[in-house]
Amino acid sequence: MKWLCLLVLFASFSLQNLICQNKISGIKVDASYSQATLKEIISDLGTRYSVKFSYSESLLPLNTKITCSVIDKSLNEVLEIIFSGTNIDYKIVKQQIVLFPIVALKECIVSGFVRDSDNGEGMIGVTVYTDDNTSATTTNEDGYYTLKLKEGKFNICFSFIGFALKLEQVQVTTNLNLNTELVESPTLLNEVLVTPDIKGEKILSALSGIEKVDIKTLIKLPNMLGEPDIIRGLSILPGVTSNELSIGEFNIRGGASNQTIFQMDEAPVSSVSHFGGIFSLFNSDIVKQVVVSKGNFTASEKGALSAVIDVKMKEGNKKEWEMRGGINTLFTRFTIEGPIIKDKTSIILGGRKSYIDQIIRLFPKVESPEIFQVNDVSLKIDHRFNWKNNLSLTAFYGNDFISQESIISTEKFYGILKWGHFFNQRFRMENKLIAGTYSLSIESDIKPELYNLEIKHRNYQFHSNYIYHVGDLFKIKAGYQAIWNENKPWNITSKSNESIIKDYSLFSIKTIEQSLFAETDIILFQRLAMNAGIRFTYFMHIGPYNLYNYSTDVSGKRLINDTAYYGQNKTVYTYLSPEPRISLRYLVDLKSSIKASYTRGTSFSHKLMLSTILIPIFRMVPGSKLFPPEKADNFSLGYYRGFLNNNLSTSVETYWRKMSNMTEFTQNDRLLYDDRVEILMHPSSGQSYGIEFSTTCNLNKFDIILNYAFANTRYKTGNINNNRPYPPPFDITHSLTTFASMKAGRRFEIGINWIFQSGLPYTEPSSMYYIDGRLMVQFDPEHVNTKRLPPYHRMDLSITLIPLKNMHRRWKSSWNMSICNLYMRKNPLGVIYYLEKNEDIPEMKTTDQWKPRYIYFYQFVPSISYNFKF
Amino acid sequence: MGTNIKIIIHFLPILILTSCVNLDNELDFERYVTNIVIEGLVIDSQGKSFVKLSLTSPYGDSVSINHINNAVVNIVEDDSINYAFNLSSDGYYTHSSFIGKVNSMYSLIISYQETEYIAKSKLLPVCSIDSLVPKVISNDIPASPEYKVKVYAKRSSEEFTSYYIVRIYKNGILYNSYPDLLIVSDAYLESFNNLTLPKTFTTADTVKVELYSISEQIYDYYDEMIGLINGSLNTVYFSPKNPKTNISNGALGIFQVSSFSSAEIGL
Repeated sequence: MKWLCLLVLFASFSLQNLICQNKISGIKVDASYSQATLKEIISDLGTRYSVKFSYSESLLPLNTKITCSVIDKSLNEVLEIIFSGTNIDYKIVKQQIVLFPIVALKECIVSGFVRDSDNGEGMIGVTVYTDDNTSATTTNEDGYYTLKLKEGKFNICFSFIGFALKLEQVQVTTNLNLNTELVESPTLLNEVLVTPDIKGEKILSALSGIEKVDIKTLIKLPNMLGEPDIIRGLSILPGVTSNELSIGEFNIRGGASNQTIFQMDEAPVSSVSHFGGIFSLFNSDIVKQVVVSKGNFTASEKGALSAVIDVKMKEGNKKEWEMRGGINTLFTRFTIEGPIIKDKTSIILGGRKSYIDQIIRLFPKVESPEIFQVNDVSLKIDHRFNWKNNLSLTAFYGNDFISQESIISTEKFYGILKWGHFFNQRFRMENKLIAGTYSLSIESDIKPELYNLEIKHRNYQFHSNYIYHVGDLFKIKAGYQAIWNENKPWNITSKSNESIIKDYSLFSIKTIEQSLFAETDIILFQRLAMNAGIRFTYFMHIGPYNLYNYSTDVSGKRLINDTAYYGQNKTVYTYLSPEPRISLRYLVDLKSSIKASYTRGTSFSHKLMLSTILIPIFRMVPGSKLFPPEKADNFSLGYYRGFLNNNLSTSVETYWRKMSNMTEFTQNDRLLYDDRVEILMHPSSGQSYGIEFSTTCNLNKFDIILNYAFANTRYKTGNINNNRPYPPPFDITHSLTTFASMKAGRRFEIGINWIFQSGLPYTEPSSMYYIDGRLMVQFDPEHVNTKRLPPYHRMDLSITLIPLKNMHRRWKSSWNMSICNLYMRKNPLGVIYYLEKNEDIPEMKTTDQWKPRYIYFYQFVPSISYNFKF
Repeated sequence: MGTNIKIIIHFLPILILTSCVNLDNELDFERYVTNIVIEGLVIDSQGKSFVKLSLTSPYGDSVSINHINNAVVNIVEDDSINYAFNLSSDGYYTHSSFIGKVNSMYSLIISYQETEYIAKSKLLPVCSIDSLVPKVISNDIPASPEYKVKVYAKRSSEEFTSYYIVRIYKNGILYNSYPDLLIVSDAYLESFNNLTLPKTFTTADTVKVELYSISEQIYDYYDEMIGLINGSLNTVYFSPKNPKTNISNGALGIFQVSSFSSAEIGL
């Protein structure tokens, strides 16, 4: 009975309140006010319509004057109008209107790390957003994110393809550190349809031309000779074409291979391939992700003229120890990783060794070198002191060795020490020390030419970057970077007194680049984001050095007027280069965006590639008054759209590039040992434009990639093609790459790709003539590279067999069979000219004819490999 | 010198690629450009200087030499003394009393079909050959051993780099003919001691070696020509260029000015 009375009383109270609210809301108002204070208006409304207002005069800005005029409006609407723009809110309680101030909610920063629950590694590119879609961001290369939120209760979502969606409920009252871990989980199609729309990183980011390729995608590609190679796999990206004869020679958006820079955890890598150019330096078991930046860089990055390919290494499993490796046709590899201190310190160590010489000896007709070895070792140690401090060390050593009559070897070392420090949740610092060396050594024991020859490059860098976050809306980054380069082009030492070779060396080229930069990431309006920055680099070439002063005769030949000698550490040449960089992103809706960007890149030294096949040989020539540093201006415009919650992503991007101060050079051995190398160099410039279409679909059992690119590149060099534009030898007009992988049952994974490219250009001969009894071919000097080879296309297949036993044991193994060029097409790479032998005089060749032939590299390459993980 | 580097740059890549050459495809070439071809030699020996003139032939199955017999050919010494070279046989112009002088500057001036072709080069000194020394390298058949021959000579200048063409004759016949043109630079050589000829000989052979001094420009021309030939005129990811001549107005060929020394032995 008592409960019934209380219930009736409550219901009556609510009903009475409701009736009063309806009575007040039902009032219709006709009024006009000109510069009246809020107090006067309230008093007038109260009097005319018998409404009581309750308020505290000291808390409200009632002296605010407004002007308004209303006819037949409800009282609620009138109150909304007069209080808009003020911090006054109201509520109808019983028969009165209560006025109160709106308390401004405090803004707080929610930040932290997103890590893989399996191994504790920071996850790059995870989308972090509130479930009301008012705030969103993505994690950076360390897996770190920041969100700016007002006080209140939120559901923060963490989303990444291939991982289960994670939801964290938080009460935000102050700055909050929120770390989380994601669990790997296949993405099911029906789940994709019902979860809320998710903004992917490619759509959200202000930067265009950035392709982030996960190692899990790259290792699904069919591989050459059984060794998965992440660099070879990058050819599936739109606008990326590679030299089939030498891995690591990439042409991206019309840039020559020396315009693309490779990095390992941001340390520059001089030469990315092992001997033979078939395999890259990177052990796929240690790589986490590859980031390809095509012509678009932030001010904090040195960048390149054409592209930067940065290979990110894993940190190592911080949860448990594991080993993995493989044996294939040419290589064996082994990697071990695990926690030295659980959840704090991890190590990953991997090595590879080849047995190419033993394989060649199986073919008695093929002349085998005595020793042919290719080895590399990679190491990374990562230590988290606490949430404020993180230290990591990455190191790589590679050694190639061929011994026949002479010993030819290369040695590569790269090391990066990185310290990250958070002053607080908004402000952090990154310091890096980077070292890299590359050397090519030839040791001749053939009398009388007994000598040691060495070509060496060294690079040391210091980076100090400071980043200030204001949530996801605003970020400032500024810093200082210094780079020291030393290039010793040619150094010969005689090995004995009987040698006819004397000690001879060129001056070491020493250069210093110092950069200051500032950049900002800002959400200008709700949909418009911008990344803008400026980088100033001061370049110095210091002695000792002989600087030649040239003039040019009527035939165009460079003549030396005089020579100036610069002593140790004396400044030979300086150059200041401002490099503005800006990117804009307009969010059309939650699934699509439009981006535009401009980047200026500078290369302060000219890299002359003398040989790219087998063993890369190059010489660095520092910028000078005669040949200033190379520049590239890159413009791009693109549209990006995601479907099925970005499990299907599409994009179309167009670009235009202008390249200036480039150099072409005459193929002449003197390039190696002559310090007057400028005699053989010629100034050049170039332009390229194109359009790239990309579609990627990642689902549970399927991965599909479809990319198409159209490109047009023209170079202009004074002594080539009569100073008219011509296509460079790597120009490919159309390229189409398709890749599909699927799981067939529980035991098989199948990957297949098909590549189509229009033919490479070449120059045809125009006539023949005799010189000194030798038949020579004249290449048409006025039609350089005007002819095209037949199109290139090939299909590769990969089948991986996974034993069922893997499900029930710790030792997980698989067998992979790959075939490159499945239908055995002879894809021409160029034209060579073949001399016919004169049978009458075996030691002399006929001078009657140079016979032309297409040349191709490989026709059908099967391989088998065994891979394991424990 | 730098043999290993040269092999890496020019030869090994083609060695690998020629194992994959497709011999079945023929290519069609459409464009033909007529150019004058000039081979000029000025030498410090009487009666041996000459100028050969011809026209190019279309690229095709057979090559015919189209001699030029109606050009006006002059060689001027030190911008003062003019020697008119006359036609002595098809496309071949000579002067009976002309002898080149060391350290003189020579200009070649050819007038043909209202076009003038000019080249200029200095006659540089050559180092003298002290001796040729044979060394047995193979004695599998004692009655007929195989020899290599070493050339002993000094650098002509300690201060400047000198460049040479080396011609090897076996029993009076040019031995390092096509495509074994041998050019050397003494940039990082102490001397020519122990310069071993890249040919083998047997007992009773006569070996004659001729050294011709050339300028750096002429050395570059032959070096580029050798690079093209050894690389099989390779166009793989590469745009081949015609060797840069020292003759003006688009002529092909070279104007070589040399002093020469020689030595001969019988094995």
